[in-house]
Amino acid sequence: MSSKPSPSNNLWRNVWGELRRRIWVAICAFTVFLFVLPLSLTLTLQNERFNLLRDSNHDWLRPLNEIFASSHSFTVVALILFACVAGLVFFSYLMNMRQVDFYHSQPRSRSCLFAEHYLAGWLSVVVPYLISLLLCLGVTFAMGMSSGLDWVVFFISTAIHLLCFSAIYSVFALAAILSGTTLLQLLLSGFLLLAAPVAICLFRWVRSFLQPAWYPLADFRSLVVNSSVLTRYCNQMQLGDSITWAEVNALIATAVVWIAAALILALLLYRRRPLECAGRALAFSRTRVLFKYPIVIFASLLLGLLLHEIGDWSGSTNIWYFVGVILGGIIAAQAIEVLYVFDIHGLFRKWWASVLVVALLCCGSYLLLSDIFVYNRYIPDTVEVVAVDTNLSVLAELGQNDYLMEAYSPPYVPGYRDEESPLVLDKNILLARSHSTDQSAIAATVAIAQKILEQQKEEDDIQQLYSTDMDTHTYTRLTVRYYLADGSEKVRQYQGAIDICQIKEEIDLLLTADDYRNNLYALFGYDSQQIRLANVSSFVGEWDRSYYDTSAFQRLINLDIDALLETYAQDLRNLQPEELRTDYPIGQLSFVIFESDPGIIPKTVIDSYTLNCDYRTVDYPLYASMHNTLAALGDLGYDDTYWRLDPASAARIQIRIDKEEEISYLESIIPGLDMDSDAWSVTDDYYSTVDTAQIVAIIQHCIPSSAGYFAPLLEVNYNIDIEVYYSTPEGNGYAYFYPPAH
Amino acid sequence: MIEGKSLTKRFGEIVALDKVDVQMKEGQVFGLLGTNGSGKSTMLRLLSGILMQDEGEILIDGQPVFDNPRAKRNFFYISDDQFFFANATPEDMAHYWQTQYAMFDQAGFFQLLDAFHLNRRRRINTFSKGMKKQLILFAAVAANTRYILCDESFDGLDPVVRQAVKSLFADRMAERGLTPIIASHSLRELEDICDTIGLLHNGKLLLSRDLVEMKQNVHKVQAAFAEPLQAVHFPQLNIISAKNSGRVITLVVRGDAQQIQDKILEYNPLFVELLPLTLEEVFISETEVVGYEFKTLTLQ
Repeated sequence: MSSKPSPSNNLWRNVWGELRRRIWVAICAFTVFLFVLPLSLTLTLQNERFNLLRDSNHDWLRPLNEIFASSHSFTVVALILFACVAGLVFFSYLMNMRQVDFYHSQPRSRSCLFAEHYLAGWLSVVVPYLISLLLCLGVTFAMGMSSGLDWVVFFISTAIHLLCFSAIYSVFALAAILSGTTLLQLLLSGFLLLAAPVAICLFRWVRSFLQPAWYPLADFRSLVVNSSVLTRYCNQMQLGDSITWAEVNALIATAVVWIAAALILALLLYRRRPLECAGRALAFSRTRVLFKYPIVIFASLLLGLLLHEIGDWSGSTNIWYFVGVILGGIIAAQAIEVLYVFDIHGLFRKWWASVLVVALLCCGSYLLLSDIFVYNRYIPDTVEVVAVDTNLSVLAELGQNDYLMEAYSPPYVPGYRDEESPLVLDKNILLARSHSTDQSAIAATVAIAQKILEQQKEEDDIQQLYSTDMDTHTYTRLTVRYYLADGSEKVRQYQGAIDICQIKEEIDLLLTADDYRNNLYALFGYDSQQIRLANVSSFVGEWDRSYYDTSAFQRLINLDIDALLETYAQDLRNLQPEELRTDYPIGQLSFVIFESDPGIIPKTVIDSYTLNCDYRTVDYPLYASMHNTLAALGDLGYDDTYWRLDPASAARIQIRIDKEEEISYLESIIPGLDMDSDAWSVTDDYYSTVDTAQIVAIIQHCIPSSAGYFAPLLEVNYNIDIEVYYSTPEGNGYAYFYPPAH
Repeated sequence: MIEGKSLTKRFGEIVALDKVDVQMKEGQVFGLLGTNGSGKSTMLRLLSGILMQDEGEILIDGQPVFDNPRAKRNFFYISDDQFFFANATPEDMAHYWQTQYAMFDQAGFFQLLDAFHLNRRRRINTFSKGMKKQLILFAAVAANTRYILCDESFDGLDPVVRQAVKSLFADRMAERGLTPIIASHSLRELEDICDTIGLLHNGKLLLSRDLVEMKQNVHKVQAAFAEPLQAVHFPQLNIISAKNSGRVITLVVRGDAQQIQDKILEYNPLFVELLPLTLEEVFISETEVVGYEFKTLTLQ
């Protein structure tokens, strides 16, 4: 008897059959998308119409297009959720022996079976999503707001959503092929999607613990985000409408690569998949090692670090790291064994392997902590070094945020990043800008490194780093890239509790090296068209002047500041170390730097924000000695009075005194101060005065708290808070001042 | 013809099938006999291309079966634990099978359902175990494939239905050369239907013989003598078993029937009679040849 061609070749009929049998997935998806898209849009548009009636200038385009954007959080979350649901439901037939027998005895190839289930699952989510989008368009047209639709955003975002959904769904399909139960499929999907970002984060954490002299790259976060399609897709929500074309292209490429890789791998593996694995943990027993040991190592190191963190930060807590490594490794390994055999008896299976892994981890950690390879204590001979990139950080004085704790900013460069820019072309730009070939600068750098290491040695344990209160101004971190004579480069971070006065001479040497000074200020490395002046603030004027003034911002942001920049660069570079040690800034200039090509930045910067240019804000100091800059600012309306405090506005000063000697200390460093006089009243521990002479004396000799952040060489006593209460026509307020340290 | 050459299948450290060579000829009923865990289901799942053999080769009409839809179109596999779609009715399943098997005779299927009073619009998950087995057997017959692979499919069927299914198989064999391959742990289940039987034990195929041929070679003889004689008195006969009851002796002997009778007549018996052999007795003889004791191999 000859067989006719089987109708089973009709792929779409089978896809429809599968879809119909699990139609509940599509119904759930449609219900969710209905709320996320058309209903949400209808309510939004209704509000926008109402707002438009009240204010004809109301911006209704943004809320409209946000619904369709790739950053729309609810859509992203819903698609990820349904990628998971569809992946689990449509491949559940592989986890049940009866269904395995049924489907695989049918006259269909495995590739065909996979394609049918894959497509059915895909359509069960994509069709409801597309229907919801069509409904959204219908709502937009019906409400007469279609003219505001950004079709580019609409199509690109839809493509991003579909591709990212497909990529995540494909990973779930691949996990189904690799596993024998739904639980394991879920866990494996998580592993495949999150292993890379989690491993990168853990690597960073572990390395900064085991090798504190390691220099983490600036692009670590982007590495984490870009290492998985899931994290990259989720990052869309954070980027919002600041997403760039480069991001869009990269995201699409990432999703396509993930889809292709997951599908090819799934198809290849499915052809070889032993179907008797249904109900067992993994389909391919050999893959157990691939999944088990990375998880064991991860759990081991993670618990070690966590216990270390929970400890009291004394050197002795290294023991807790090892306790964590042992516990984490063994618990994770044996829990995996239990999961693998679905039996509590698995708790005692292959224990020797977990013990071996933990022992190796402990040995490796011990060797690195002992610095047996002389990594942390590495200092080259000065003669071997031809150039250095030197980055010295004294954190508290700079007001550095977490990002700068990575030591990207030297102490004299107050330009710091308000926002982390999504695009940084040169990942090491902040280190590279402090480049110097000057022999005295090289010698100074090496000397600082030696002093930090000696300080560590005195504590007799490299881990004293962790016993140091990192928030104090005595904590110093030196990041150096050594350019050696043999052509090699080595980067190290030395960190320790070393006071700024201990490295005063070395700092002077660095600052007097011309190339170091010229490279130091990142601001001047940009094309002037990329820079806008955003704000001019006074530290010693009334308290509220340091805040952004919207109208001033509107005026400043579109100014041509080429001449001002040139003058300011000259003034900044002319600052001498002595000045930095004795003086403090009277104010700050805030600049916006656009990372984009200068040619595409429009003159009207407000538009640039809406055009999604990448920008960051930097603040630079303004000293009283910068006469040329101050004159240029005077032309912009910031005259002398702006920078000078009107003592009449200072209504009262209050100082908390904890120890009697603090009074004599203050009187010794502030000429004219007499806290025993009748001008002062005492309530509890607070000394307060309304006497103008006393107020003027204090303000003239103390440092405003805002200025302190920009004056790392100025030794300030942060233990005594001086509260100055203002009363101005604009309103009342207060500011903090600190006395000099000596 | 289905042909398995040196088939080996391992599940971890367990060897489910160990270098099994088997041939299943077209137009015959092949019975696969063995205790639980002997490898019957594994053998059928290998033959149906569900599992992939670790070693060896399976050919259905000359084509490898694994992941080969062309070969798979030739058979219908009935698992011992059938799967039906959730909430499906026989009608739904018929539509599905129709899309999978080109020759599926939907009208014939419904006729069978009606004849056996199975409601075609009732949800299958409300059927009893036996009704589900009937349903799947009727589907297998209606699929009009060359082979039907049945794994313990007759267990749980009442005698009437069992007989009816056997008749159906017989009709289809006569009509279009259907080849049913039936795995069972019960010899009696297979006795009256199989042409060829393969005996699996611990993953090895101990024997695979034509039943008629086997029966022709072993005979049961009953004879009475004036004086009681023991088996040792017949050294010329290849005696498998002997049973004495007074002057009557019953022998199971391997060899040609006429020659056995002639040899016994030499002892001047009061009477000699050839008795019919049960399949069990045949198997006892055959398994002893290969060094096994049949009673340990099967559950009867």
